[in-house]
Amino acid sequence: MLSKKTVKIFVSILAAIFILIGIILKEDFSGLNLSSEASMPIENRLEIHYLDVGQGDAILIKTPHNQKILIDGGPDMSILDQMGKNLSFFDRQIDIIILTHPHSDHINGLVEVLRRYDVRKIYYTGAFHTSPAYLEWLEMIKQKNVPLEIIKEQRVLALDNELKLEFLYPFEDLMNKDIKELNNTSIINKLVYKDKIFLFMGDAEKEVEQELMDLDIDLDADVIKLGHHGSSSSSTEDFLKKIDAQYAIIQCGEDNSFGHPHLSVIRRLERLGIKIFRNDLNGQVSVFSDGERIEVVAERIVY
Amino acid sequence: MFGKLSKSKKFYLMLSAFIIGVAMGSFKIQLLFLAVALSILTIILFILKGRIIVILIIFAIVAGFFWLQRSVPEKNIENIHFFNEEKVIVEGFISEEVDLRSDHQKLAFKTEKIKFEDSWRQIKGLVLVKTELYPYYEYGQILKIECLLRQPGKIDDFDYEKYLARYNIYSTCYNSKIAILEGEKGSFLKKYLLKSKKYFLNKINRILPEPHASFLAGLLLGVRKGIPKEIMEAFNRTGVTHIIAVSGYNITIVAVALMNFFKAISISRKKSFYFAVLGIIAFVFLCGASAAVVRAAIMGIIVLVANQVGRKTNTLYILILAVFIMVMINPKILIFDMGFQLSFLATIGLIYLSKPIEKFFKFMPETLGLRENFSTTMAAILTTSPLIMYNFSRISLVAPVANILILSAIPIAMFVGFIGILLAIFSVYIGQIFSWITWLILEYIIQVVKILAELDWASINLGFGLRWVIFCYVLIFILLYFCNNLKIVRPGQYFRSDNL
Repeated sequence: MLSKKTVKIFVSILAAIFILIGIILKEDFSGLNLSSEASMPIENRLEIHYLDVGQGDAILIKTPHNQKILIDGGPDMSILDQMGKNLSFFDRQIDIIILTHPHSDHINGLVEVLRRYDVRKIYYTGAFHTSPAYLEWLEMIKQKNVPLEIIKEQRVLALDNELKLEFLYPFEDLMNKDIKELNNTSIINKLVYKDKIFLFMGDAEKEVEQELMDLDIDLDADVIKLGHHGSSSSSTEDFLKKIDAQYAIIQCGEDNSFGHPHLSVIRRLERLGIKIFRNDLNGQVSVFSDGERIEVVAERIVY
Repeated sequence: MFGKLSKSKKFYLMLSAFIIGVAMGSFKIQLLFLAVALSILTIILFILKGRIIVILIIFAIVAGFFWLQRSVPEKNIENIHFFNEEKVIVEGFISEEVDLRSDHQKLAFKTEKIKFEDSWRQIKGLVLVKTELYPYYEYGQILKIECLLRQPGKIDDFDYEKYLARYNIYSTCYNSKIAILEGEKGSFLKKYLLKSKKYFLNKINRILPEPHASFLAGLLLGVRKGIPKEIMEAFNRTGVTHIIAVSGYNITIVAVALMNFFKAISISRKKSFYFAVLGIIAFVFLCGASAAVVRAAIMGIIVLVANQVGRKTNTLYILILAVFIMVMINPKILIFDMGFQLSFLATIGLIYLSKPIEKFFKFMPETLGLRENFSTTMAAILTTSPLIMYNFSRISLVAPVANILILSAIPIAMFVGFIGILLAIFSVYIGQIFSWITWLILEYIIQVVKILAELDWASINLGFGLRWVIFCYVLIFILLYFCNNLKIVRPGQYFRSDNL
C-alpha cells in the first residue's frame, strides 16, 4: 500500500526528528532550558529557580544529582508553564515538595503539579486550614498516595555527600492546630552546598525572625529569599545583619495590590549592600552554584 | 425577474431573506426604519415585477427580524436578569462545561428558584458565575448561590454584554457564596462526554509538559485556555491562531489538512474523505459537543463534501440551509458570535477560492499535501482577514510563511499525540516516552511561531472600520463570482489557463 514516495517522506521526517534530538542532546540534556544561559559549567551545579508566578512563592531546585525540589506552588496555574520551561521535556518527577504554609499564594498551583507530576515526598507543617485549595490538595495527596511528612523540629536531610537540606522552623508539632497567624507557621529551610548557603524564609515575619535569633541558630547564608514577599512585617535590620547575605530575592508580582515589596525593606537591603533581585522586575531569577561560587541569572535585567 | 427562478432557488432566496432579517434585528434597527426600508424594497421589487415571491421575501425578512427579537428574554420577574444589581439567593445547576482558567473558574449557572420575600419562587435564565480556582466544580452540580447580580458591562473595548448575550447570559456574579447541594442535573450524554474529555485531558497533562500539553489539548480536545499569554500572542502575530482557537474556525482548516495528509500517505481520495469526516465527528465528541463546535463541525463537513463532490452550486444551497438552521436555533450567533462568522467565511473561502488560488502556487511541492494545505489556508485567510482586522485591528504579514511551515505538521502532531494518549491509558510511562515525538513536533511548531513572531514587522496594526469591511467583502465576492464563473473543475483537476 505504501508507495516509494511515502516511504521517502517518512524517512525524511524521521531524519529530521533525529537531527533535532541530536541538537537537544548536544546541549547537555537541557538544551532548551533557561539554565543554558548560565556561564557556570553544568557538572556539579546546583540550580535554584525563583519562578515568576506573579504574586506568590514558587521555587524550583535542581540538585547536582538531578533531584528536584519544589518549594510552594504560586497562586495559580502559571507554575505549570514555569515547570515546563525549567525542566527537560522528559522530566516528570519531583522528588520533594515543601509547602511552607497553606495560604493560597503558596498552594494553589500545587494541586495541578501533584496531578501531573510524579511526586515522591511532601513536607508540610500540618497546620489547620480549611481553604478549598488546601482541602483539594490534601485530597489529591491521598488519591496519589504520596508519602507525607510533618516538620515539627529542626532536622537535616542529606541529599548527597555535599548537599544538605536543613529545616529550621517550626519547632513544634502544628498538626491540626488552628493558628491565626499562618504566615508565622511557615517552614523555614536552608540548602547547604559545600561552602554556600541558601535560605528560604517562606512568609515568616519578624516575630519568627526574633525567635530564631534568640535561639542562636546559625543563620549565616549567601542568598536569602526574603520572608513574606518583601513586606515590612519581615526582614528586620538585625535579622538581615545576622544573615549577612550577598543576594536577596523577593518573590512578588507586578503591581500587586499589597504594595510588596515595602520600600523600607528595599532601603534596608541597599544600606546593607545586599544585591536585590525581584520577580516583578527581573522575571524569573535563577541562582547557580558549584559550592564555591554563585552566579545569578535574571530573565530581565533592570538598570 | 423572479419569474424565471426555479422553485428551489426561490426557497433558498427566502431562507437568505430570513437570515438578512435576523441580521437587521441584531443591529437594533428601529421598527419604523424597518418598515420604511421594507416599503422601499417592496416598491423596487414590484417595479422589477416580482408578485408573490416579493411578498414572501418580505415576509421572510420580517419573520427573521422578529425571530431575533423573540430570542431576547424580557426583563420581567420571570427572568433572573430582572434582579440585576440586587443581592439574591438562587438555586440551580451548572449547565455548561466549567471554564477553568489559570486563576479562576467560570460557571454557566442555570437558575431555577429564587428566594423572594422569604419564599422560593420559580425563575429562569442563566448567570455567569466567576469563582475561585478551588474547589473544582463540574457540569450538572446543583448549587445554591448567594451573590450580588450585575449586568455585564464593557471591559476596555470589549463588549462583554454582547458577547454573553449569544449564550443567553444577561447577569454576572462575582464574589459569590456557593454551597453544593445533593444530586445532579443536566444531560446524561453531556456529562459522560465531559467526563471522558477530562480523562483524556488528564492523560495529556501526565505525558507532556506545558505549554505543549495545552497546545495538544487545543488541537485534540478543543481546550484553549491553558496556553500561556506570550505564546498566544505569538500565534496571533503570525496569523496561525486558527489552528487552535476561535470556537471552531480551526475545524474547517484542520479537516482539510487532515484529508490532505491522508491523501499524501497514499490513502485513496474516497477513504481520505471518510477518515476526515470521521475525524471531525470524533473531535466533536472529544470536545464535549458544545454548540459552537457542532456548528463548526457542520461547516467543516460541508467543505469536505464540496471538495469531494465538486458541484459548487449545490454546496451553496447546503451552506445556506445550514446557516438557516443554526440561526433558527440561536439567532444571536449571526452578528454576535465571531467564531461562527469566521467559520462561515472560512468555509466560503475554502469552497470557492482554494482551487483558483492553487493555480498560483504550482511551484510548491505536493509533498504531504503541502500545496493544497497552503492554498486552502490562503483562501481562508483571504476571506477572514477583513473581519479579523475589524475586530482585532491587525493583520499578520508572516501568516503565509508561518502557515506553510506548520500546517502540514498539524495532522502529524494530532495523530502522534492521539497515539500517545491511547498508550498512556495502558501505561503512563509508555505514553510519556512515546510523547517525546509529540513534544518534538509541537516544539517545532512553537519555535517556528516564536521565531517568526519576533520579527518587528510580523504583524502590523491596521484597524478596519465597518465601511472598509463591507468594501473588502464586496471585492471578495466579485472575485468569487469571477473565479466561479469559470468552468467548475472536478476535484483533482486544475483550471485551464485559457479560461481566464
